[in-house]
Amino acid sequence: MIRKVFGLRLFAVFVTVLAVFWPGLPGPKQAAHADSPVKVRVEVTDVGFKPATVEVEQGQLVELTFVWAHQAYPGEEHIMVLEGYRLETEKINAGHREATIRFIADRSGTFTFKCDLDCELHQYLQNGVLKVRPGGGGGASRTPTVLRVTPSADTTDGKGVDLTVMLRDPSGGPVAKAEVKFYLETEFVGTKGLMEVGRVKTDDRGLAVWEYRPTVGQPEHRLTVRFEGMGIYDESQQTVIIRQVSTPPAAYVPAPVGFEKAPRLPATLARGAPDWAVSAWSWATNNWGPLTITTLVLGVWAAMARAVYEALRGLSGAETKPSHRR
Amino acid sequence: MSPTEHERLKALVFQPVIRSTPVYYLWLAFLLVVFGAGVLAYLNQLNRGLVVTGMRDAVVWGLYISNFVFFSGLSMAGTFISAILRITGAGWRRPLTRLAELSTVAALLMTALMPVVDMGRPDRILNLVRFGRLESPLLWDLMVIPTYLVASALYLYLFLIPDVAVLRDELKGRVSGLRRRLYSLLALGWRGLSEQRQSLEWAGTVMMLVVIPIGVATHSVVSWIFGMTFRVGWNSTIFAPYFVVGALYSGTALLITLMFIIRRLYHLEDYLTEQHFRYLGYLMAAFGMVYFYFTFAEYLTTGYKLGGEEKDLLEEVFFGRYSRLVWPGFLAGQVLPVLLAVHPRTRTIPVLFGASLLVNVGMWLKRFIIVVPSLAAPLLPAYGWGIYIPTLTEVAVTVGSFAGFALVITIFAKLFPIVSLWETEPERELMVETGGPSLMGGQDD
Repeated sequence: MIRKVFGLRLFAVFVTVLAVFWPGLPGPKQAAHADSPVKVRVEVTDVGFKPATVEVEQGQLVELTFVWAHQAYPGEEHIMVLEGYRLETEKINAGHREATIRFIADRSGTFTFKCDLDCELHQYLQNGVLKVRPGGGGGASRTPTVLRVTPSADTTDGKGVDLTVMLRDPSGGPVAKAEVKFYLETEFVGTKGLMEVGRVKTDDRGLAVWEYRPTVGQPEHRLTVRFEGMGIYDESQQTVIIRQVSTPPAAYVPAPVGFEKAPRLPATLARGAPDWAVSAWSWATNNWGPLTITTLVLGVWAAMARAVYEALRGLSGAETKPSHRR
Repeated sequence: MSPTEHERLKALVFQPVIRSTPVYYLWLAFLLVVFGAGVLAYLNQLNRGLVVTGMRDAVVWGLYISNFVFFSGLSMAGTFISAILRITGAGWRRPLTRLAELSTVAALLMTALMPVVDMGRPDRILNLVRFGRLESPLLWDLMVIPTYLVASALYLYLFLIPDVAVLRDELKGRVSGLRRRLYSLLALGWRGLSEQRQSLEWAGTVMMLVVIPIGVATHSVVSWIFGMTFRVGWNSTIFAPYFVVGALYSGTALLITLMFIIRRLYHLEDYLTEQHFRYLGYLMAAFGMVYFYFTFAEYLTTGYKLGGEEKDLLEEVFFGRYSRLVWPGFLAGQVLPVLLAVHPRTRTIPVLFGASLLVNVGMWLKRFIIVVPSLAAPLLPAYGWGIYIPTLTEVAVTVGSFAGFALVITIFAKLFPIVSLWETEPERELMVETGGPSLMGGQDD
């Protein structure tokens, strides 16, 4: 009997040792999956991040929590961003000390996490490192999503267009509290790109409504509506085309300048005059300074041109005997 | 001036054009090195951005814009004074005009350069034209300064043509073929014919009349960059005339400085006499007194009321962090030179030269005081005073720009006569006495 009990104990010890040292078996960290994430806490202290380097395996679900732990800087506030994964935390400060980002470390490599606010300790909080070791045992993968925007095409006469976003997982379940961003394809001083024009969060039904109000005049407004995955979902996006059928009202109206009592174009003239003439009159009466300078400059150029012309004509046309002293 | 004296003057003025001394080449090399250092510093700034300067979000203009205002002031010296003296028939101005016109062109080149140096992205300068609005004083600058530069260069060139023709004819075989071709090209076939003289005088008269309003406009527009901006210290209605008088003051001082140097180097003691210095000294003192009056009126009006932000600004300027620049600048730039120029005992050539240097040191400090403290003054209660400490890059570019200014004059002096021989010809003076074209000649004193 004693032998049998001893034998069982020996077997248990053997299995335990095997479990710990067997190379193919996952350790405690590697055992994480979608339901049991690797939890890492990083303290944000007066001298920087503690620890400053975090290591995880590729494929693990990670919960990275930043803990506000300042001693000498009670007024410090931070928003941490994880570059490469396009994730950011909520703001942390003395009143709200913890913020967590949850993501699947599906990309291997070295990524930087840092404070994105212009805080007092900014320079000490720029060097956090997340190392994602390739080929780890983590089996977590991002959940695909389906994003639908209605309408996918519309027209506008300058007024706003309501866009309804619906975000679903593959089973048709809603993706709630997900941030969806709206980008407008645009060009500024020769540079083309996507300009973020709005953000919205889905409700419990995975729905969100956002109004696009054109602020630039162009025949076609191409909007990219994108859900960036929040670290645990796959990215999904859709393009919406809104055609402009008339000029939108100016989004930015300059404050009125000039004198309100400046002379207006006489009513009899204004009645038959085209709009541009009335506008030009109004502009001229309120901008006599620039107009004077422009007139002076143009006059100077005209006089200079005439002087050069006369000099050249006189110098090249003279034929009589030279008279200058030698 | 007798024909013999004129020939002597010609020999003196032509000598440096034909053959330069080793000192000239040493000076040229020195200027090239300093200018090159400035260019290198600028390239570093271009590569790394404006972060290498001391300019930050509060104080966005520093040495470069101070230099811009300063050089634009210097540019007033030449063409404007030369035109005024021509129109008023001041015969004594004849040996000075070329130097004056040249200093204008050199200073305007540096004036035009400074805003470009101040830009973080100079490659976008054309956006000022593409997207500029006529309501903006910056665009007025863009219109007026190049116009003044072209007008001044044209004015310098027109009155240079007869002298270039003499160089073309008399330096055959004594200068390189390239230079001879240059003279031939620039002389435009000038042979001194009466028709040619008439054409040139007509064109010169037009340019003379054109250059005066555009000169005034330039300095007014430069002042309006500040005056049209909502900033404490810049809310002034007298900025335009204040800047014009300041420009005339520093411009006249520059003319005295250059005249002293050229007189020594070219041995022109018999031609640039004490009388020239005395007359320019009178002008400098007169402009200095008017400038002092404007300064007094400007500060008294705001200082008497001492409203909110103005009080803080004036306290900082006169008794705070900028007082170490203001008081020496005021004494050196506005008080001492005027006293030295008006007192008969101190109105000697070397003293006037020293006074002219003091004026421009003081006027540079004054421009710095106009630009920086108003920007450093906080606009919101929660903010403190902005800090501006020029970096080595800015200092190197500044020194380089001064070297560039001197370089233009140095190279010009090697290629062309620095004194207008044509205007000092004996028969021209005779023509004036017998009632020749009044605007071009004028009465000798």
